[in-house]
Amino acid sequence: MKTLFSRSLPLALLLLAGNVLAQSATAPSLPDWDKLTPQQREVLIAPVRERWNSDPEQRPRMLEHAQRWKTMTPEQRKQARKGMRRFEHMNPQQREEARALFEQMKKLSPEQRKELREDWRRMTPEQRRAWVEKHAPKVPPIPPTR
Amino acid sequence: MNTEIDRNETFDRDMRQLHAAAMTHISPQTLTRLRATRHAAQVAPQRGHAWRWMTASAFSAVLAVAVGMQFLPRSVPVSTALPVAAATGIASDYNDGVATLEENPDLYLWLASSEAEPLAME
Repeated sequence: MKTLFSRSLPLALLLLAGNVLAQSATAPSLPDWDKLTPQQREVLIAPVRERWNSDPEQRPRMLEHAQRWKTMTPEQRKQARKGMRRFEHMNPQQREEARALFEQMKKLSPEQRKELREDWRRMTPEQRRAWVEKHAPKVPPIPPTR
Repeated sequence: MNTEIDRNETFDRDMRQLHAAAMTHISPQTLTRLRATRHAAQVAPQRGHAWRWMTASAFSAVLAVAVGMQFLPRSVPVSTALPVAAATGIASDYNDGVATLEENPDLYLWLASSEAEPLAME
């Protein structure tokens, strides 16, 4: 037992030290935006600029979405990011369903929403597809860039 | 008092003589084996201790360096210490930021709501 302990202790210490060293090496703290270099800002902004320039017709919507994000509370943003993760894991058809359901729910009263939720649960995949086609949002969704 | 000391010295002398006499009766093979055993007993622990001390010192040094690095100032000048690659890593995350502009944020908010969560769309 004593031998086992004396042999295990150096290994444990090595692992601990390695972990600490790894954290030190891989977790650089980045400063606030104002202290970033121009190159770093360029890297960060590039995806947005590219997206903005690539589709002029969608600019109003992108700006509107950005403004909406800005008006959200921190808790709402946190929830929205959670919903965004869910959305990212959906396939195109599921995304279409989510958009249609969301747009439809906005128009309904609480009772009607409850009724739609129950209807949706009972629908077969074919019925859901037909419902989505019937209730698809007027504005075509933006094609995913990623 | 002197009698006591004299008696002790006599006892010591007698014992030494007995020991010397006994040594003359030990066979050379036994003496060789005893010397080898004594030598091994003296040398082996020293090697073991040396190894342990070296190991302990090495780990102490590693730990000291690791702990010391925790106290190093992290806010080093950005222009030299933080490469653009660091920001590139963030940029890949920031592609999520671009994705946030693609859809209505209220859709995302709704998807995380208690109303939408039970709706299995995926």
